[in-house]
Amino acid sequence: MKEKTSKLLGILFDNLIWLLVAAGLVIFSSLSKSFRAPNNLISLLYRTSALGLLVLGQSFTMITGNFDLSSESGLGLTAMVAALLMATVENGGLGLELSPFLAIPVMFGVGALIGLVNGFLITRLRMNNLIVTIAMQMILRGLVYIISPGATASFFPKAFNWLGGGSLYKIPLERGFVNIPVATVFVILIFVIAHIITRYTQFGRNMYATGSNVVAAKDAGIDTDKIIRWVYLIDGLCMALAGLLAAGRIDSATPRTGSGMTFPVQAASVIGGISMAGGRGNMIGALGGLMLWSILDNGLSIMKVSPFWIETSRGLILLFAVFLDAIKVRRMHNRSLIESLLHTTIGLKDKTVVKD
Amino acid sequence: MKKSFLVLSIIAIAAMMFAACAPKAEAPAAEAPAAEAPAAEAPAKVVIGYGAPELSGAQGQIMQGLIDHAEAKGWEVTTTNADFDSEAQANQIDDFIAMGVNAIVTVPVDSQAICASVTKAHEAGIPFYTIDRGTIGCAVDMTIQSDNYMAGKQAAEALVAFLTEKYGEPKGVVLELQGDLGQNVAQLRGGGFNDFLKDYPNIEVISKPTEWAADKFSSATLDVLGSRDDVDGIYMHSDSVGTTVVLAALEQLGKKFQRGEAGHVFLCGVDGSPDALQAIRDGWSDQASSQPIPDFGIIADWIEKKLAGEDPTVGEVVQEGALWSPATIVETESGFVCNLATTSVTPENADSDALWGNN
Repeated sequence: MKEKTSKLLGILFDNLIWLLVAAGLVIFSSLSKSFRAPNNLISLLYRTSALGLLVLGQSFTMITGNFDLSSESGLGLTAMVAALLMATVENGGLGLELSPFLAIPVMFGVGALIGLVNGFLITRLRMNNLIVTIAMQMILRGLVYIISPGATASFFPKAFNWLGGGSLYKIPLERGFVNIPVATVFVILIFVIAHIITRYTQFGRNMYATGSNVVAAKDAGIDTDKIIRWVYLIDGLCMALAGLLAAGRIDSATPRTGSGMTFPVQAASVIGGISMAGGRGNMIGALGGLMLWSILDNGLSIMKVSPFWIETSRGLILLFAVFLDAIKVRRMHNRSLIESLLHTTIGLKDKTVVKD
Repeated sequence: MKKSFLVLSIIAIAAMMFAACAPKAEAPAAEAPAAEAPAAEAPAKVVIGYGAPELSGAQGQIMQGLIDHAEAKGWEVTTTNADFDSEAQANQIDDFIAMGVNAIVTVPVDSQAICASVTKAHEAGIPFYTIDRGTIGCAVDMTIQSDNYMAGKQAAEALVAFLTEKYGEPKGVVLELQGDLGQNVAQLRGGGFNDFLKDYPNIEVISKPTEWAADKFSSATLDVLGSRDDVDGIYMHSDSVGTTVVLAALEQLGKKFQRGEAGHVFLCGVDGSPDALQAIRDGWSDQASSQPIPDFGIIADWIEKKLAGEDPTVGEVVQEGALWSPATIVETESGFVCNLATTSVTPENADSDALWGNN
């Protein structure tokens, strides 16, 4: 009986985020006709697509036990670089009017460079990941202001905006049509890919091992520094993708594009079950965290709730997520040491949240 | 132990659901008429979506002005705050489109970045209006703003009157503290001022850019008035940014004198902020071209016309007794622009309740 309860509790914990997502959808749909409109439901992931990519990058670093607080500025910088290369002089660009097919690779180059620098400073120079990325956040944002200089660059070729602002197809209805944005499909797809990488590849298992216990992982022959450098590189590429989504979404890059996203990124990741302590959580959960964030934002806004309440409800959900994380840790401590070790590091099992 | 966790989590979930539901309790009633009755079936209640860029300073008054004018017509206004974030503003406008509002009014966070949202709203058949600043690169149905050129001119008029009284003829030196010259607001405030002074060749204007930053207002004042003693007046492109710091700089230089005292530096500017009006009443400052901020809400009149299928007409709009009258409507690349008259505030009318800075 006790076994069963515990098992049920475990399942509940692991999938709680999806219960909350479902609850959010049901509550808001029943209360608002505008919320349950197909176009609105489909746009839930579209509006947070850039945030989603940052959550993805953050989840990668957090699984290895590292933080990245630089990503909002990385988004801003990559977006601004591409914008300056593509926009005309009148619209704030440099006048190169580069093709998006050249500008996008440059963005990825910048993103990769940011990731490499982060990884280098953290692993080679043994600098604290939190402070390094805070410093990078300031440096990169400063660079955005320097290169822009302080102005918005707008109006890009259609091809550039396709991913962030384009629509995949439009399903005609009696009145109007249902628009399926490219970004919605893209975000789901990329989270699924990320899930496969973290869950079913050696690299992914090594990430979890690094995050749950660096010493044990090293003893097991894993080059943890290399894993961390790779993770920051992936994170940098995620910033560039996020920049592409954000700039395409509003057909502009402003000097402030992305600023203020750091806390939502942390919050959505933690709400999605990615542990601050490293080594726990999965990408599908993180996608749930992103969904819940978006549902609250959109739902409360459509219900005409004051922005102050939206902020408060986010804070409550975040507290609740950290509370759950704390429970998980305590549950693990309650188990026998051998069992815990078996489940977390030595066995290098992919399922790191211990189950009975 | 485990039981307590279970109980705790259930309590937490319940608390959270409550948090999510609680503020909504009052909302459904308000929302029902708008959501249930399709917009096509006039005369359903008109709903306006208002997107504020942030809510500090004058922005709160701009929003209240729109709400007052809309509610006077029996309309409902849904408000959001983008907190300086263009992407958040884009999301909020998406929400308005999803809600099927009758018209969208915003103060754009960014004049260019707003364009993607303007296009979307127009595709959905929703008219789009901006207040206080226009768009760059796309056309809205109308932008309502202060006549910034007139504001500069009013300040220049007051300055000329002061100098004529002081010297018996219009001559002297004046420091112009400019805003961000990349914005048309600053260009117009400077243009109105300098164009008026062109007829007075004996008045020398020293212009210093400040990009609207208070510290630059201060340092430019210290630099110029610290190095020469013949400056008669200061014109601030924004008295809400400048009044306090410029007065502090004058005090530091030992040049802060009240009106009527020898050595008084004439202070004029645009905005008509509470600081500036107080300084005028206290005798430190002389003139402010007050923006008709609460009157930006009269854009509701043009929204009403648009909903009835009528476009604005170019030309002058006059309403007896209104501070914003006469207004002029012009057609630009960014759509129709309605420029409202500013009010020249001097010690005589600095107490008026009609000024936004006194409310």
